Amino acid sequence: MKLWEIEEVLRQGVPSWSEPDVELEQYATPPDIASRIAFVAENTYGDITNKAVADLGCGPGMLSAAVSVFSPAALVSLDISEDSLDAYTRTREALELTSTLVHCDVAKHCPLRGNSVDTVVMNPPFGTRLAGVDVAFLAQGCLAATTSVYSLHKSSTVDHLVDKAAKTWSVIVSPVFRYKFPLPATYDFHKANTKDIEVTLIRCDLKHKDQAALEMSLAQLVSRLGKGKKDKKDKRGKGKGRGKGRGGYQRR
Amino acid sequence: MKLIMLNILTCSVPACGIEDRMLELQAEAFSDIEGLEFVPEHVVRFLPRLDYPGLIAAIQGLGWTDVLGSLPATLPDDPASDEAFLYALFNALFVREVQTGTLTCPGCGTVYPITDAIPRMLLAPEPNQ
Repeated sequence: MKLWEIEEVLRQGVPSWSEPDVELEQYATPPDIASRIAFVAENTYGDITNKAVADLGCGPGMLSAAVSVFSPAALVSLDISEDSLDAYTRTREALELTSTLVHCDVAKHCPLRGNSVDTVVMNPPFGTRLAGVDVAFLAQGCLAATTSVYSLHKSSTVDHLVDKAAKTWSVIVSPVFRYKFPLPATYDFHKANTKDIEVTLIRCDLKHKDQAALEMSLAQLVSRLGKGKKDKKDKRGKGKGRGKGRGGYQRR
Repeated sequence: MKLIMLNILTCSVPACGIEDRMLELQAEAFSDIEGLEFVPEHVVRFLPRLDYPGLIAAIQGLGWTDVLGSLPATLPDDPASDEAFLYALFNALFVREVQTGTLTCPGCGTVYPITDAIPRMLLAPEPNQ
C-alpha cells in the first residue's frame, strides 16, 4: 500500500474520543504521522512484518491500525482508558483488525513480560500533566521489546532521553523524524485553534540493553511520577470538545 | 483474548512471584475468528518464545478438546518446517478468542476479568492515594 492510501484508510476508519481526558493527555495521533511511523519501522528497519508488536497507550488505535497494514505476527494494544478501548473496538471492527486489546496502566503496572515482543510502537503522553510519564512509558517499552522501540517525544526532551538511555540503560536512542505535531484546540481553555508542538520520532536500539538497569530505573521513575516542577494543580478534568475539533482530530 | 497472549502477558502486580509462569485462563464464552489467513511465518516467530507444555496444560484446563486433539503432547523435532503442526498451532494461538473469562495469577492470586475479549488488568488504587 502506498503511504497516502494508508493515511486515507486511517482517516476514514479510526474514530476518536467523544470527550478526551486532559489528565491522560488524550489527543489523536494524526493519520499521516501514524502511517509514516509504521512505514519507516517496516521499510527501513524491518521491524513490523512477521514480528510481535505492542502499542503502548494505543488510544482509539490509530498507530495500531497503521502497524496492522504491514502484517505483524501479533499486535497487542494497551491503554488505561475505557473510552479509548471502546473507540478502538470500533476501529477494530471497521478495519477488520486482529489485534488484542488490554486494559491496564502502562506507566505503573504494565503487564507485558520482559522481552515478550520484538517491537514496541507508541505515542505516549508527553509528560505535560503527569511529570515523568513519558520516560516511564519509554522504560516500559524498552523492557518489553527485544529489538526496537519507536516513540514520539517533545523535541525539547530528546537530548536528555538520548543521554539517559545510553548511560543508564545501554540503549541507543536515535532521532528518526521531526514533526510539527498539530494539537487542535480540544478543550475549552485552549485559546488558539491549533498549536504546533515540535515532536521527534525516536528509535531505540535494544541490542545491548541492560534489562536489570531498566527494571531499577522504572521503579524509581514510577515512585517519582507526578512530582517535580511540572506539578500542575489544574483540576479541569475531562474537557468539553470544541465544535468539530471534538476528540482531537478533525475528519475531512 | 487469544491464547498467544499467555506467552506475552504477566501479572500487573510488581514483584508478585509469578516469575515465568503463565497466567491461568478460564473461559466462559469464546468465539473463533472466521476466515483468518494462515501465515506460517507468524507462528514461526513465536516458536523460540513458546512455553509449549504450558500451552498444552492451558488448553487442557480450558477443556478445548477439539484444539487439543490436533496438537502433539510435545514439540516436534523441527517445528518450523512441519506445516501441519504449524497450522494446528496457528488455530490454537490465533483463531480462538476468549470473550468472557478470567486470568488468575499463580503467584499472588489476583484475578483479572476478561470482558468483550479484553483482559482488564488495572489494579485497584492504593489506599493512601
